Amino acid sequence: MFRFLNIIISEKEPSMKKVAESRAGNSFRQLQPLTQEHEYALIKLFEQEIDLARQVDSICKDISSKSDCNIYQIFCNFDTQRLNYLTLDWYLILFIMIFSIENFVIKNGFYPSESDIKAIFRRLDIDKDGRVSFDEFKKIVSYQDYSNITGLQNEELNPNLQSYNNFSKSYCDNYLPSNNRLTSNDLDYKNSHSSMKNIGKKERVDYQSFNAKVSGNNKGYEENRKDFNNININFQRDQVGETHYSVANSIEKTNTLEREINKASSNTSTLKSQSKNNKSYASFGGNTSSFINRDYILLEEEAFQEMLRDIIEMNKEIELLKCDLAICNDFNLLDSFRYFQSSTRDFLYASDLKNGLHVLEIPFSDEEVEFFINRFDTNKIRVIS
Amino acid sequence: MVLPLEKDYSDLVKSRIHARSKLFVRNIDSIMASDSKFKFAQLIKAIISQEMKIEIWREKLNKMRNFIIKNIFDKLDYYGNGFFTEYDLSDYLNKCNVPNQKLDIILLISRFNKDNSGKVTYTQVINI
Repeated sequence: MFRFLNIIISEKEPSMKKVAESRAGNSFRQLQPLTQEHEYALIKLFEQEIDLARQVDSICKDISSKSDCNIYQIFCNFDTQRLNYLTLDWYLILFIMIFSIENFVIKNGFYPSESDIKAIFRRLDIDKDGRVSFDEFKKIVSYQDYSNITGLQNEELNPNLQSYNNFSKSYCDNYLPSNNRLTSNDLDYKNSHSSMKNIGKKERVDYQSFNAKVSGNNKGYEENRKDFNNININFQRDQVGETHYSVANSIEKTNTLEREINKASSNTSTLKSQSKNNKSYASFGGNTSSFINRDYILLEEEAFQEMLRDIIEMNKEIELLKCDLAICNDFNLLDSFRYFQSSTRDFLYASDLKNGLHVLEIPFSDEEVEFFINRFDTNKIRVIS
Repeated sequence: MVLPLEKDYSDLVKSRIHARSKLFVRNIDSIMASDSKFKFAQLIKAIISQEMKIEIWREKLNKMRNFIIKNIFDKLDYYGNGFFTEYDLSDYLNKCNVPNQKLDIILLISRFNKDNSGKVTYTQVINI
């Protein structure tokens, strides 16, 4: 839960974070569908997190596989003050931030801004105590299967992290319903409960068997990822349609026959079939993003109704403002028109409107002025009478 | 643009005599009190913001693969007259469970129907 909050809530604005945290979570607890915009934004966020996690994973794997890699030595490179932790504490910021993280990255040819440094620190500081201990650092830099994320405890973890995990587990057990504990499986779970009514696509993906496979949530990250990738491939096959796939199969069959007829050319034909299959797979799109980046389309009529609802609401608001203005004793039509009138003309051009908006201290763009004219220009001559 | 739909309010505004006869006013700051000027600015801002929101909706609808205006219009034009009136629109909104009052319908129709005939044709819907 805490990890999830840290992912989706901005760290830059503490007030925003408090507001988001303090909101009643009824919809979340009862698993009511999110709105389209929220769902889409969350999916985009998860997609970027997955991409980042994969990149970090591969780099960590690379570092860990090197025989001369010593994580403590790497840590010491950052911890130039020998404090045994890294910090962004304001009292020590000049010494620690500049001489530890920033100094290290500058030395290696990367010139970060202050916000970059904070972003790196935010990633490293898992328990959010303002310090990055060696254990936290080790956890990030060294390659592991993330089994502790799904609830399995690693015996080698430091006592602080263990107590933190125990606390979060007990918090989840006591205060949250079991389905609020999110794991990598929940990405799939979320999609299967999408509010979109045209989510018929899910029928094409074998979600039920997938969920049945991994519903225990006890598998490691790697295993889940493998399952996820398998499902992804199935989905991509379905997405492109059986036509592509049957074509690929028929090519393969033809090639097999060819191999039987002419053994001498069998190797060539196999290569051909492989290359054709590869091409067809490439056309399917071979990464997870295509799985997540589905079109989130509302039913057309529902969207139209929603638009009408919005227009009605906005009209009401505008009507209230008009009534409010009508009550003002010094307000009349001709005088209000003069705010925009730059000469004695009885009509307004776009330039007149812009001048008027300047006088009224209303920020505007050219596009907004165009829409404003379109709204009130009944004769389609680009002027407002 | 600034006249309220309710007759009492609009009559009130129309009855007022403007401040500087018909002469061109140089010092525009002296036209209205700051409070009225602020409210007027709020109104203009709200209108602009409404237009931008509607534009976002337009874009959203146009991006939808199966969105066909004719289908929507046919639903509004229940009797197949080639146009729909405020009664048709009211029926449609009631069917869709969109809360509406008579004033809302009139305002909505006035947005579609710029010639004030009370009948919204297919061409007018497209222009919106």
